[in-house]
Amino acid sequence: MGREGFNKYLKNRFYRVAAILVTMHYVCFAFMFFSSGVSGAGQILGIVGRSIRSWPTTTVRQYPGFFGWALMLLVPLLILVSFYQDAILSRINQFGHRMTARNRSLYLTVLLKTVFIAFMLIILWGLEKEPEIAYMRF
Amino acid sequence: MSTPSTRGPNWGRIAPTLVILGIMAMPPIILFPPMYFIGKHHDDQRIFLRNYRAPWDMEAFSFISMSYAAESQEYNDVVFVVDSALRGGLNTRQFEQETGLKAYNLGCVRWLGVRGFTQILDAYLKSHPKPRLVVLGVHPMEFGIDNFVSPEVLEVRARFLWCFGSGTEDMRPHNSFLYHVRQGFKYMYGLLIGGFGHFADEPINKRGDTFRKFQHELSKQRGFGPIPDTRKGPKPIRDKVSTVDPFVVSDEQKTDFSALIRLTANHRVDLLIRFVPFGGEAAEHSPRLRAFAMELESQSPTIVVGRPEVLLYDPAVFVDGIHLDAKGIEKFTTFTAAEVKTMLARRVAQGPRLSSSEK
Repeated sequence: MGREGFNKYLKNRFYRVAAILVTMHYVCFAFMFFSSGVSGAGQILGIVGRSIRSWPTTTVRQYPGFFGWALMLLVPLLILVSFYQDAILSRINQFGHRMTARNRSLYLTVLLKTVFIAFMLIILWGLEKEPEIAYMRF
Repeated sequence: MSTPSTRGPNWGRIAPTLVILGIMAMPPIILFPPMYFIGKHHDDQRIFLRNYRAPWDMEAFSFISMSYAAESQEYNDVVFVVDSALRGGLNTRQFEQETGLKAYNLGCVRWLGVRGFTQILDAYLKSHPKPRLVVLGVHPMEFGIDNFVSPEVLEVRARFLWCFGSGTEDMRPHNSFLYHVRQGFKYMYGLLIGGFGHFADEPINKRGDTFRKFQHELSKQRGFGPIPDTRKGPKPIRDKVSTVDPFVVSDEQKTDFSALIRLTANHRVDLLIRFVPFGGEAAEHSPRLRAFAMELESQSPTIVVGRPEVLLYDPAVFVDGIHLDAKGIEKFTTFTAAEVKTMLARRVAQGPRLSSSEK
């Protein structure tokens, strides 16, 4: 490939997006073992494997819900955004420079961040998981 | 001569702090009122199962029993209103074969208590044709159960009574502002994620059982749901005769039983109270249970308490000290079938009973 080929490869948008997708899937795959343990992850993979094997006879039984639809829209949007990543990041940089040039903008940034954190904390409090009751311990 | 201090508050320092505090207070001011109204409105609707998580097994069993009681209109000769010891201890199909009677096992969970059972039976009697006999099955150790259960369990019971009971304000389990706010958040999250339907197929326990699976299996076996036998190692045996009488009945329990007895008496339905098999340490005769049984029987001529009150079974036939294994189920179902047949035959021989006012 050589140095020139490697640089070309690094600049290729398609490879970059593919690399991001593969990395994200790898991270999600690894998280599955952290959250569910080895046996839990094995069960999840078993279910996924069975549904892939039985596809297309596997029917979607559940309506995905608003959250599901939102995720379905968000994923292609993120992929699209990653194609124009450089342009978007440079715009954000410019905006950041302009903001930090003035004191008022700095205050505003701090305030917005505070509001965001306060909202997040309240939502986390609201959605706190209830202690689980297992009647049948088997 | 002292000069008046010209130093006022340093607003340059105080103002940012006040602004930050104001900003921190803004989200609750914006979010709490709408979330409170959403949470309160949802509470007013008295929907038992949560739309933001899979039901716990306790909620699932209680709801499935209540659904059959309130929504079906099927006729049954015998109805079992019982806790989990009998839901998993009395094989309804075997009972039907041995007696030739149609039956349904409305088994739920003991933590609901007799008040919960009364609620289920009330719903049943309102929507089904009158059965020939109602069998109330309770574990004899259930009478002091409230001392051992967690506040979360008591909350589920209170919520069950609120959702399926009279609905009067005194039954409302929560009045706190913050509780309703939090429920508002959770309810909105549930709506976004797809509601209860999304969670009906989510595993409830370690074995991967789901709400829909429980519903399907209980319906197929007419309410009977045996407890999986996961015992390992040698089975326990009863090697000594005990003289202990561990059964204590509280006044609150007596009141709850009286309410259930009044309900069956008002509907003129015969009631058999059967204390389920006990595998722990106890004497064969319990003076306390005998006295309680006689007290119950004195309340209405439609009530019979099964004898012997203490059914001592070998600990080896229990899966976990309370729930029977296959051998125990077969033995107890045969015993109950014979008891029910005897009671119904006696009732037929006695002819119709009149209440004291009709006499």
